Amino acid sequence: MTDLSTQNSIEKTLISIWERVLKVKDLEPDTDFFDSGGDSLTALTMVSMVEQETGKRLPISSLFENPTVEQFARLLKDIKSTPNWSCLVNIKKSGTKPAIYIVHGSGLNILVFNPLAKYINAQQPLYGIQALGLNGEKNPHNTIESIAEHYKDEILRNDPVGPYLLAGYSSGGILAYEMAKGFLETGKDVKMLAILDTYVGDRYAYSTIFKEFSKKVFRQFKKLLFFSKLFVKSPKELYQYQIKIIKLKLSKNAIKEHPEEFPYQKEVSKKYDQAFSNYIMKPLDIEIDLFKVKKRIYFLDDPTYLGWSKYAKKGLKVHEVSGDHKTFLFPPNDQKFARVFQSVIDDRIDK
Amino acid sequence: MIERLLNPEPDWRTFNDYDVLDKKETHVFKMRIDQNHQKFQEQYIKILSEEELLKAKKFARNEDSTRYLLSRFASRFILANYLLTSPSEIHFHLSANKKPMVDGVEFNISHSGDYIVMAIAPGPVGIDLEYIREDFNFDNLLDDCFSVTEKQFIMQKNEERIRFYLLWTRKESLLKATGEGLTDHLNQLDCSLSSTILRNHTSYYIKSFSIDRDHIMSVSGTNESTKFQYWDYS
Repeated sequence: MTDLSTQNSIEKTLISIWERVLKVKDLEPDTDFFDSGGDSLTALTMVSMVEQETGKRLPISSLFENPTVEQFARLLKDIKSTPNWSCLVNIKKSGTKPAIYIVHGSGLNILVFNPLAKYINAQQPLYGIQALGLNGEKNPHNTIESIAEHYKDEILRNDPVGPYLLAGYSSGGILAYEMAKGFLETGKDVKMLAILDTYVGDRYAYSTIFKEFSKKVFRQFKKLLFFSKLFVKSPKELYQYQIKIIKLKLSKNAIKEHPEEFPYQKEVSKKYDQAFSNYIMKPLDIEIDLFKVKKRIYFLDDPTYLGWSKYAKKGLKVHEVSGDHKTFLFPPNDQKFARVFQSVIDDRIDK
Repeated sequence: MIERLLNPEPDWRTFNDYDVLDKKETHVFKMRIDQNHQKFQEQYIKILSEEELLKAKKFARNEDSTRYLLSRFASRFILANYLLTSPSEIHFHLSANKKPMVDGVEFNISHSGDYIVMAIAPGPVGIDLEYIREDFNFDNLLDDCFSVTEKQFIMQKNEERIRFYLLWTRKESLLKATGEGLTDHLNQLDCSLSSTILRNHTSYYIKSFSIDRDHIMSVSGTNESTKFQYWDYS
């Protein structure tokens, strides 16, 4: 991140951006943006580049009032970070149906939902919820409960009435589940809780060492069966998956190999990982829609319900979708997934 | 789909100072910067105000200074013709949103690449011209500038770049006509795919043209029924 502590360092950063945008050299702090060839398109480009490099975004109107490097730098210095930074990101705005809110997975950001936005119904608004801390500020929450409450409050600010449609992708399914609990406790109507291929297995039930041990032995046995079956069905995929995992484990900076790399990822991930490992799930008075991938290339204890049946006291509906855990949201599976997802949403809205 | 919004190059007529500009019509002018600057630069000092000559010196790049001088010089002549006065008698002032105005006439000016363009109309009018730059990376601006439907229109297999500039000039010309100028929530203004838009209780049209194949020009105004005249100022 750029050093933004002094007027001088901000001016240096700004001059470098302005020189690139305006294609001029040797700008001075008293240079006026619009006297140096700047127009509305370059102004927008500049504001967007400043946001990318500093995490701070100023409204375009402020440039008209403060057109020199020095003036603009002073404004930048005074704001804390991107104003209005929020976990809630409006991915698809338009539409008359109740909005669906999808919580990030372990990648923590919500770029993965973009293909989905393209193919869901034109009348279906879609919000993504991205992880706290991605804007460089400290995530003050240590537990899943308090993170979920934070997300829930942002949704309530956006729509205080409801009804609410919630979904969670991968590990985000657990957060969505905890959020649904919060909504229900305050008497809100949760029309849908969709779990997108989240595995909750038996991670909380086995507390004693003996149980852990017997579990492991049993799992190894089942794993063997699973792998041998998969080798017959799709040997290439299994191989590639294993190679990928091994590579990831071997690399010192495993995080850097992640395709969704962004600043602060390490710190943000660590905080979430801790919260997840301390979280204890309790059954909830709700019906759950579980979206499950057809192709499983790693081993699970409960491949049928992914461990969810005992948590959904009003029932669990399983919907199979094409692809594996990593690809079901992406082409060529995205279109099919969007269709299934939308039809379940529509059923829930009509109920 | 592009054809629906983008008209081919208009039929430009050469403008002469004795031509009469009908006040019921919308007049669009184009002028090539280089050749007109060569032709008129010696006359600048006679026609332009001291303030304008001084401001021209403040620009960092020569081309910006040249373009500013020529744009003021030519618009003085055109506006004087329209208002039946002399070019040095024209007084420019800025609106609250920094749009240059002259009492008694509605006009707007834009420039890009090789051209300056200007529109004069019976009602509020906005014009925007963009040179289609092959090296301009607009990907990061899409979310800031356009609504979801506008983005869908732009992000197609062919002519993404033309689509971007087309919608950009359409939006920009509308905001210049309404007097709002560049606003902060451009992506919430879903306007550029329609040919008429209701904004602030007023109906506006937007018309776009291809100029020289590598420029796009859009004009927006309040009175669609008006006849258009296209003038080449040289």
